Amino acid sequence: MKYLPDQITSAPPPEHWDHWEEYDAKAWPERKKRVYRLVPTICFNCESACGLLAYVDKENGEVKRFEGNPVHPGSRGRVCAKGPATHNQINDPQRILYPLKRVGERGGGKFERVSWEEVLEALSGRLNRALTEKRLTEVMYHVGRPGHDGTMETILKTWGVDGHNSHTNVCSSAARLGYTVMCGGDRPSPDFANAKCVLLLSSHLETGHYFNPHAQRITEGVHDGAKLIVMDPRLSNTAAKAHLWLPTWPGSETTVLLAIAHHLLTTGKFDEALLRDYANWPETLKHLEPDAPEDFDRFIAALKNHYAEYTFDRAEKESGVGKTKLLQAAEWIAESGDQLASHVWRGPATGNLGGWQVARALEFLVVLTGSLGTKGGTSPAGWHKFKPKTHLSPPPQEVWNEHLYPRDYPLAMHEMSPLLPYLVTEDEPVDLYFSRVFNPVWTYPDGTAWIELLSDEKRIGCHVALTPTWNETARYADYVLPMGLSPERHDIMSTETHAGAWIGFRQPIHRVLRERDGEKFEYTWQANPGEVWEEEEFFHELSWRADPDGSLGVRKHFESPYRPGEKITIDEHYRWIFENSVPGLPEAAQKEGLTALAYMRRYGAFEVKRDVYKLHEREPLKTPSGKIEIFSSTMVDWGWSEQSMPASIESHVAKTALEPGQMVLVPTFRLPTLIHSRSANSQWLYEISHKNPLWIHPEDASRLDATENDLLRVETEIGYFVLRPFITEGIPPGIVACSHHLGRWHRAGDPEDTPENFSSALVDQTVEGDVWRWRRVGEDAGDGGLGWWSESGVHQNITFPVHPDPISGMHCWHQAVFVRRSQPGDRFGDIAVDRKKAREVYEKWRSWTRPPTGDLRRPLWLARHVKPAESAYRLH
Amino acid sequence: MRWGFVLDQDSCIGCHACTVACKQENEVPLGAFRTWVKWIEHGQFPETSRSAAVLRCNHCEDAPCIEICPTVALHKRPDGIVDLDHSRCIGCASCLQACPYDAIYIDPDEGTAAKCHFCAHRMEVDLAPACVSVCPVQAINVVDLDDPDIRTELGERKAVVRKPDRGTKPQTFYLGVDPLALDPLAVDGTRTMSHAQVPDPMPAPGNAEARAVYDVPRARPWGNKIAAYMVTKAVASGALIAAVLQFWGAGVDAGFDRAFALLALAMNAVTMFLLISDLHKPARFWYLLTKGNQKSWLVRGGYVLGAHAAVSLLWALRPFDPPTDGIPVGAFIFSVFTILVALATSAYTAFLFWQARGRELWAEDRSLMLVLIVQAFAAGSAVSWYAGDRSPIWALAYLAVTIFAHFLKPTTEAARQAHRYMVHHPAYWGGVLLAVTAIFYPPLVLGAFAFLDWVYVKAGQEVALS
Repeated sequence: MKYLPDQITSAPPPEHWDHWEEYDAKAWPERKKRVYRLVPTICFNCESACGLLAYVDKENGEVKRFEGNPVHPGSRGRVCAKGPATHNQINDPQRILYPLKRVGERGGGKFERVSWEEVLEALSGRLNRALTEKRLTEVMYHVGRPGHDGTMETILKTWGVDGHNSHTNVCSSAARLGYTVMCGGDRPSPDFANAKCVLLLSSHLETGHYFNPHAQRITEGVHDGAKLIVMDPRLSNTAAKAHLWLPTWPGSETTVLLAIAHHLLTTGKFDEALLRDYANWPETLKHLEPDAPEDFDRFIAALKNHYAEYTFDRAEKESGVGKTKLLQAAEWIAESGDQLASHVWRGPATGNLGGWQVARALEFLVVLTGSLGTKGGTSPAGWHKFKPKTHLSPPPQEVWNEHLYPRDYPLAMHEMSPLLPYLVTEDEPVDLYFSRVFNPVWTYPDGTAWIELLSDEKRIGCHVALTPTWNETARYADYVLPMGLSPERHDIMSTETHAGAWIGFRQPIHRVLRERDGEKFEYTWQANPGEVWEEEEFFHELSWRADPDGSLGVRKHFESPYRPGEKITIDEHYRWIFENSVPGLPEAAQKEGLTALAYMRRYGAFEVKRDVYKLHEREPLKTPSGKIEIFSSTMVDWGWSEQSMPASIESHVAKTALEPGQMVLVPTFRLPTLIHSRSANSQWLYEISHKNPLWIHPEDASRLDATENDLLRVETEIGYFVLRPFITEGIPPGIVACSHHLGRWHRAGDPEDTPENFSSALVDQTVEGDVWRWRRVGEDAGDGGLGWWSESGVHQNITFPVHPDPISGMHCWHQAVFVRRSQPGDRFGDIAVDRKKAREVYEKWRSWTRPPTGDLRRPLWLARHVKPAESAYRLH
Repeated sequence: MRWGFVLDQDSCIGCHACTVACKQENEVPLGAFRTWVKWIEHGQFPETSRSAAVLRCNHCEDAPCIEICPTVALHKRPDGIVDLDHSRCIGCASCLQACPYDAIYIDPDEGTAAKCHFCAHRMEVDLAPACVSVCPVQAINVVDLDDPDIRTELGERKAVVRKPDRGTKPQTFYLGVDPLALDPLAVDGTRTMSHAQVPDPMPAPGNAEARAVYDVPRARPWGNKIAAYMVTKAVASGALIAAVLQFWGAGVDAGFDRAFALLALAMNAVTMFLLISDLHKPARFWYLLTKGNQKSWLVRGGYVLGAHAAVSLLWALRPFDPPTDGIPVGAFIFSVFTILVALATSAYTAFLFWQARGRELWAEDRSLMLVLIVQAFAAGSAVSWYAGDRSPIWALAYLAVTIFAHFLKPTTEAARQAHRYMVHHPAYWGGVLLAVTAIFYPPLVLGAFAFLDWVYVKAGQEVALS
């Protein structure tokens, strides 16, 4: 079926972007002409960085709509529901339009408008004092949604601080470690469109990194005959589209994958050449059979022998999935030859203790089938992502911040951010804390610990929330600084959507258009709605002012490369990047008679490479040996010799680990229509998704004697929450699930406490001793506002303790819970948390770590955000 | 060139991008949808199935909404698109009843109907509809149905349409769709949805094979005013019949014929008032005359009501006396004409309800005309009771046709479900009880109408169309 007749186009071609005429939709069928200017930018509503095209009305400057940018190589003109939802966000009556400063006590929810000048003066002074006094671990930038590729890391280096914190340990650290250990890249880039078998331990047909671009290509692959296998305990929409759904018990995934690996080995359906030429088989053999001669066949025999315990019987027992289905999966994988495209990002990797081994085992299958880097196979992401350099080239910092990387987590892929409330003390405070599109009070486990931390001025000296929207964390800020949404800021992004590489350019469309018309702006906030700014310019300005005389050595980094001694402008910053570090871009621009910057402003994206395959044949992998590491000496060297090979680790929610009557709560799944904790300002998204009932199998519901009208109480280790069930055959008996997006709340008097609110429940928050409670005020659901719906979900994460994996550092999200009928007096949305118990769980999990025995804090080869100088790695 | 949609459910991932893109493009208000995704679930774990269908206007070749639209707001363009001119729309919501697919809504801000118009405003500048442009997996295709290759391919790929039995000839085709997702009569929409509320869902069908896990709210556009209109109109017809009978009968001295004619006129006014006040754009009621669609039974009904008002007025002003001997031909002919007008006033509603092709309880109701005619006589009889005519015969007749209608087997599944809903409703039995009592006290038959017409209007709308 031809998707469109020839004369119909799905987007106006670029030559019409300066003047696009069409008819007003609202006036139709009256033919009322409208003229738009179309400006490309990239979406900010997940990390995919899909291209958007803003239709700006020539007459009044209003943004009529956002559609896909047809020349963007990743998203190819198409976007998901979150793209057009940008229109809601920029027009949201609750959005923050001006810089605000706290009034009254911290956390009281009262703010007053201040000027950017006042903000910059206060914060640059504070930063200056910290840098002057060499308090280089007291400045911290904590990022939720980055939306950019690394520019903040460079800025932090110019300050000389070790202060980059991220959300990654509640997100994807585990999978990153698994992938890194085996092939050196921290994530996969599957070539879905050309695959013969697509194996997903994710839900890429509805969410995830990178939902829209990947869903496009998975669908193409399946259309061309690829088999789709999905491993997920819950029937996700993706699993529902699969040829084979494997509803594996949480924590059993590694065993299942290794049973398939064993099957490939025993049936001889593995790629001998790849293993022989590119894997560290001699070291692996030496580990498995120390006395054996270095012989490849011997290695294969040893490997078979090593994995002999991973039988389909064992896999069936652990996973609850019948052997026939597992064997079917194994056969499809074997038949795919070297065209196995697979992905795990969060899912089982983030859910389970030891989840990082899931990614390693999955990558093992990629290696065994010979699909590493092939057409239709799976490459390391770095091959398909292009990260340009900026003009800044600061040296690495020479300090190590134990608030970020405590020494007992030497292999933690990322900052141990969920533990921050336990790590920051009055004696070792954070003086200046920037939270950026980040809402740990709500998103993180143990949110009450965050409330205590952020309320404590002795531990957090000054909290600056950089955010486009109100959230539960911004209430605890001293300054709330409005940062732009997709069409209001500059960023470069690149994501590994397929076997090529591209960059996308986010830009503040109002500034771009008005400057095109001849106006000049010093700062983006002057052209944006209200005084909404962008981080890049803000941090340039802040850095410049924090070093007024250049004596700290910061200022020189922010000098213009074109006008020596003067402060760099945002145009110069990007001009330098596009002219100097994006191969092919200056030439492409020249062909059209444009400068590189003008080219990017016009098209919003540039394809840097295409058809990138098999780079391992040309350059070493980023593992310590440069080879595929089946055996990892790093694991041995850092005290985890039992994890030196891909192996199954018993999850904290494995069937064997549960108490009688306990169920597993899968609390991580996402919906295609919500944006983590940033959907609250999009009425179209909330209209489609506004509740998160508890998915439960009919057998379990009937055991509890519960109907869909009853309330259930889900008891975690530290508290409980009360909600209604969604009784479904889409989840196995013994497992319950709840979507993580919903359950936003505010207290009376908080900034969100307005009549327009349609996304957040009004609650009473009380604290008695160690016990915190939330109860909805008023009606059952207590919300409503603009919308026709009355629910907004139930907040579950705050009832979870921290579960740091002792190796990857990842917060292990799944919960062993007791699900009961509600108790007398329970009401929908009730939440209770015991802080004392939360601390006990933290101490228990932390006791499982193994601090380094050598002189280093961490393997030097292992990637780290804002990598410090080698000297900082030394413990003594 | 004749445009059609081909919705490829094999590719569709049910992500709702089309829904949101459409909302943005067409400024669709909260609570209304021009296109939406329905998700259903069936089967037992682990052989569970969940599937989606994108639902919207079918741009039918034989579009019932166009036929019923009283003001030609809905119209078919030469390129096959069923478009809607909101500037002509009076907000009568009859198109919502005629459409078998739930594709039309009343815009709460504008008071006019709205629906998918194939983004005609974009198609005219050669730009694909917003839902097509946005779709991540290109599951929404635009095709030229005049292209024979397309026709062949649709056949080869076994494309299906929604409710082909409604005879609307939909021009929106589905590939690879789960048939249950297109069959609202097989899906229980009353269960908890996975991430949304559906306030006031349609009752569950008795033999649901699947349950909805995501769906959007449904409208029941006609309520008390339409039920009341049926009653007042029956009285208006009945009173006019009673006036004529009084004229020829005994009670003329008492002036009952004039009084009844005046009553008919008054009830006609109340009926008109109810109809106009039920419009979402009442100030545009005169469009029925100036922009009338002569095929619409709203317009034709308007003429009938106009004739009724005129005849009633003539009877009230009666320039001639009753005959004392013999039968004057003029008076006799006028009387017959009046009776016919009175019956038409009551009975035309059957044509209107039959034109509401989406509501099968009404559209497939073979007894409706009979019931309405008997209603008119029974109402006349109720009115005549005050003139001393205390015959129970029409009350009895009404009870008889009610029983007849009760046992008349509905011809379609949707009609059966609606009928089942109706006869299980307490209002229905309240109405039947009153109909029985009316045999002893005929004026009570009006109460029976009130109950039975109300439950009939309601039940017709208690079956999910999509």
